Amino acid sequence: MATSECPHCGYGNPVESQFCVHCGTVLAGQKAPPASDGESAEEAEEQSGDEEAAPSEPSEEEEEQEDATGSSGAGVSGTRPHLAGEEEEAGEEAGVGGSGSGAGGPGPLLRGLGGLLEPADPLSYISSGSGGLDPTVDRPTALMVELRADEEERGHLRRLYAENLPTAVGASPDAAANFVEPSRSGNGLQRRVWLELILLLGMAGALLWGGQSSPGGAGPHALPGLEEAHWQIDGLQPNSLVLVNWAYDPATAGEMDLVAQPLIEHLLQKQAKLIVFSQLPGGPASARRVIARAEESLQRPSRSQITANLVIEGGYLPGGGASLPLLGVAPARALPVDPSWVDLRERFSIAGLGDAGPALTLVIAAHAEDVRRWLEQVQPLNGGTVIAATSAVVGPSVRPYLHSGQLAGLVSGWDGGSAYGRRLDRARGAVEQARSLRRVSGLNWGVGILIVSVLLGNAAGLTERRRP
Amino acid sequence: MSPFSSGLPGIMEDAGLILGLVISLMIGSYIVRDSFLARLGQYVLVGAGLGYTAVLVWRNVLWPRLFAPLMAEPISWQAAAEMGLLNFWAPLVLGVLMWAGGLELLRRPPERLGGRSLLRLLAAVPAAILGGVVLGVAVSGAVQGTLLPQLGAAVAVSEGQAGAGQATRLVRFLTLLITGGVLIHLQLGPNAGAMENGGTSPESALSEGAEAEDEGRPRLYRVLLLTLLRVWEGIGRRALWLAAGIVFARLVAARFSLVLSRLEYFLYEVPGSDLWQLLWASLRGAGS
Repeated sequence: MATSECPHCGYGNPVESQFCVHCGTVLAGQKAPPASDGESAEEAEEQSGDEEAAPSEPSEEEEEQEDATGSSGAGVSGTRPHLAGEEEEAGEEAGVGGSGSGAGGPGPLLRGLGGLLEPADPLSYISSGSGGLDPTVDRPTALMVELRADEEERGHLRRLYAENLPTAVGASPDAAANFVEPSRSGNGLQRRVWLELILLLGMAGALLWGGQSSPGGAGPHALPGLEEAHWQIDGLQPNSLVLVNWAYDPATAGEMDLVAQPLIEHLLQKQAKLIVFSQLPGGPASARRVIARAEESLQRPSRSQITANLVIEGGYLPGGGASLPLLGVAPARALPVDPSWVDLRERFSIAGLGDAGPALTLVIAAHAEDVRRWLEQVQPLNGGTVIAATSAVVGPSVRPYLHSGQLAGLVSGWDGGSAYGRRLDRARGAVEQARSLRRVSGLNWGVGILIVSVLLGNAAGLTERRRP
Repeated sequence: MSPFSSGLPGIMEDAGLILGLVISLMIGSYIVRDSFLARLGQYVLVGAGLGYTAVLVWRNVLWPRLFAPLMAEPISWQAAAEMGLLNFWAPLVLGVLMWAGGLELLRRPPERLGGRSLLRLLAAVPAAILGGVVLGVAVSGAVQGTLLPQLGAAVAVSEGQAGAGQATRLVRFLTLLITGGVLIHLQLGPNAGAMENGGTSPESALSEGAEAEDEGRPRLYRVLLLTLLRVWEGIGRRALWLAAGIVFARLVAARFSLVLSRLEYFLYEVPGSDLWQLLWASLRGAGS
């Protein structure tokens, strides 16, 4: 399979790729490196065919060619940053005083959000235009030398990360450069697509037909900490102040809604006063949706009025971990109450938080960092009781806090949420039961297919190893 | 009525559902091929997210906590300290500096040292304050919220006190064994037990020790020590992989939940919406 190197990170992509699989750089219009003067197109094709048969390191000829072009075009490092080190060395050896940054111009500043765009590279931005510090003298300054050293180091790191290789403890990083990545052969990628399709089809089939089977089985397994969380909420007096840190947004709502909703239902059943805030921009919107659903499950005639008296939206609190200590010392000052709901603030007297603190704090988090931040920044200051509702993957990371007593309860994953929901004292509708059954079937099928795939993959690996 | 009770009109919710379907399909087309539509969906998602965040920051933070109080109290610099309004002016000045520095970075660097360079330097001040505060809070938090309580819990476990996980003696022993083994593995790697002798493998260390013993030198204790290290490191290495397997299993459970949620959305929520039914009925009507 012919590959073309990404100009940004050096990753080997299929030649027809429009974008780099690794970093997202646009590859359209940047095909394989042009053949040199003496080479014909056929030779170039032949060369690419050889690469397909045995992907290897760039040949010396190619490197020389790159050196030649790199020395004449000083701005190449702006467009091929992972080669910046080699290009600049070549430029210096050839005696061309390329600054390595003049022609590229500054790149887009807005990068790196959610891994969807190119990774941010502020140093290259600075260096890309700093050749103009003194237009009359085209030689590197001390600052440029320093930046260039950084470029070399970062270029090396980019190559390492692009190849995504495990490095043994104490091994030389250069040893990784000689490793041929298995996925470059293309076989691994093709198998992965098939595996993904089988997984999707299996889970979709289970969703479609899984709800029609008769309910049975013992249900999801409850991990330690769930019983304690239930006990803590069950012991709340009516009108107790409960602070809810809503630390997930729609990106992880597919799982987290299932964990959060049973706990919110339980809190509303106990008539606790919830003060909900979030440190994520999408957090308040997610909270609104889940609380509205929990409200519907209460099945009371005047549930809107009940919820209006029980829930107050604390709003969006930016600042990450740095803004949390104030929440531990003076929560009424720290909470970002929406100004359009000032009357609610007066009615529910958030100031009461400052006097006695919350009766309970519920951290609903998709990442372990959010739970840890709370236990490090807030709980030591107010000494309140904290329970956490987390994603499945977070469970093992925060479990030590449960054992040390810092967490009073822990509900993690869809299975935890489902087990908690079964403990609630309310009837379940047919639609809700069918939905739950569908999800159980879907998860079981997904896990089953994955286990079979892993077993088959291991068997195939063993077979391959025995071949001469 | 609380904000949690108020929802959008039904038709708007349905429109959001359909729009979500279209963008999901655009991004999901990446499975087939990396295309313009897949990229467009991603950029729309990122752009909408950033716009929403900007509005939220203005509505929740900048206006109610900074600009509204400042506009309500038109004050002079002289009176600011007395009225405690430095709480507002200082963040405003630092924020404006950061804004100006950010805008300055969008332009090409200055050719000569001057006002623009000074602005770049000044913009580093709020950034430094921000970074310093974040680091300081993180370090102090790690000590007071993780290190000390976890150490305390470990001591309580070893002393058999209640409230620290009800650990049995076996669990305490395993905790010590695995923690020590993992630390040895992370520090010395798979060659633990061989490095001290300068050998390349534990076997060479053993043979070296045996030879030394034949020569009459008492080096058996070294061999035992190195063997103990090697075995302990092996336990730690395997425990590390076991832990990674557990985390991976929970990660799979989390991601499967997300996939199921999306599939359920396609298979049940979208077809059940009024707008979809309307579209479907009109399509069927047009077809017949």
